[in-house]
Amino acid sequence: MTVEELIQKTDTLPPAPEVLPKLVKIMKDPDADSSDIVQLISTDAAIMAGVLKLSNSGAYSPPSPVTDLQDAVAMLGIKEVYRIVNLVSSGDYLDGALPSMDIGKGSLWAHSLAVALIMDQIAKDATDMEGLPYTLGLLHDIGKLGMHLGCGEQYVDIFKKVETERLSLDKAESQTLGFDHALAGSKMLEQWSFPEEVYVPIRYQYNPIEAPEAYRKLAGALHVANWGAAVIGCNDGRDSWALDMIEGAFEIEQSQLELAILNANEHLEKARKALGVGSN
Amino acid sequence: MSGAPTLPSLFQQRVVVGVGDLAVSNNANVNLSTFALGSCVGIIVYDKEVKVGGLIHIMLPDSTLSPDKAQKQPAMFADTGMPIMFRNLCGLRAERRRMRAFVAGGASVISGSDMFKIGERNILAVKKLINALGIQVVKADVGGVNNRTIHLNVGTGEVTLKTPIGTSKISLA
Repeated sequence: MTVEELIQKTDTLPPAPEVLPKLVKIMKDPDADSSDIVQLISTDAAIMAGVLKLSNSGAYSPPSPVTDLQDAVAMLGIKEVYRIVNLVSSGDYLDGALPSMDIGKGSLWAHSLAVALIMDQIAKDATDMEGLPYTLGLLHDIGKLGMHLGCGEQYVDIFKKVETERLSLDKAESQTLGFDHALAGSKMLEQWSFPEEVYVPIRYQYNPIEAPEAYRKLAGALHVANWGAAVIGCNDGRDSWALDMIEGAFEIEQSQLELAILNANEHLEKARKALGVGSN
Repeated sequence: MSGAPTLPSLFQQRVVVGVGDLAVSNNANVNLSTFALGSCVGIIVYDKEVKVGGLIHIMLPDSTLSPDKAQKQPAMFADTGMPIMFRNLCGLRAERRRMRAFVAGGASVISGSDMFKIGERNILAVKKLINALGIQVVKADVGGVNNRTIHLNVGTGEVTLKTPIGTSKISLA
């Protein structure tokens, strides 16, 4: 099976998200304003309900109840509403268990949120597109869902390779299948009409040095943030430490990275309580 | 009746210790548990004489990174959390000379600089502190690339270690 064949398996892969790719494109547009975002979110009742629920939760503790989207934007600001929509939308895809990889219900979502929270802190200077680091963090492992649904039975052999040859998971996938979950995720996101700012860094998260120059910093930040989420303990699954960390992939002081991890851990706890992220 | 719980198991209570947290107990019906130790290190300490046990789940080796956060959550760091656990154990009449320990976790990446080998740094910090206190370590299951889950039965001193590869039992009694 090729990666193209995998993502063409529309009978096994979930349908494309409606709101999130459009929302990312709005954030790219310098002329867009909050009314464009409110109008878009209003088209999806489930996302709207999720935004209101989270806006009113202990994660934000608004001074007065948030009753509609205009309220949410006024109270929290457009950037925070963008993050909330990302979180609520990605939950539909990331909340399920992936038994082929020993990933329990909610674990992939919690891991992805931890990566997003770290990215938010360490990758600010890697892009001028507001909210992009957070989106990358939330979607970086979407390929694992595609792999589980499309070729999950292969993971017995993939894990055998990891354990006997001490290979990282992405390398074991590439040797077994000819592609890894980063490439699968990148292709899924491209097919779902996300802009290249999203799917290119995700493609190169395990080998950021090879990313096109415009996206090298973002891919490097993802490489490091993925490890940071593991430090928090958000890396359920078998052989979850089977990572090759590339030296010089992303320039950051050790103490700065560890502080970002500690801060992410605090925010993650609030989100867990508010949305049930990662509660299994 | 097949599969019916035994009477003692009906009274068992589980206390789950989260990341950056600790618990001690002298209640024989309590199981102390912590889940998914990756690079974090879990330390279980037990005194069989008084049936007192403790468990701590540390994330980072050194509190100088953030004294503020260490003040709020001392068990996040090895150097601030472990002394508190030993103080709390002694508060329940455990004695250092009788304590026996089990250490687990400290997974690290397959390759990368020391910066990314946080599991190894955690193990070193924990070993240094345990040695300084003169505590006997019965077993250490550390390193590698797997997550680990550990449980202590406070009534018996039995430790259960679960990894994706299997489950094993160790007695600290």
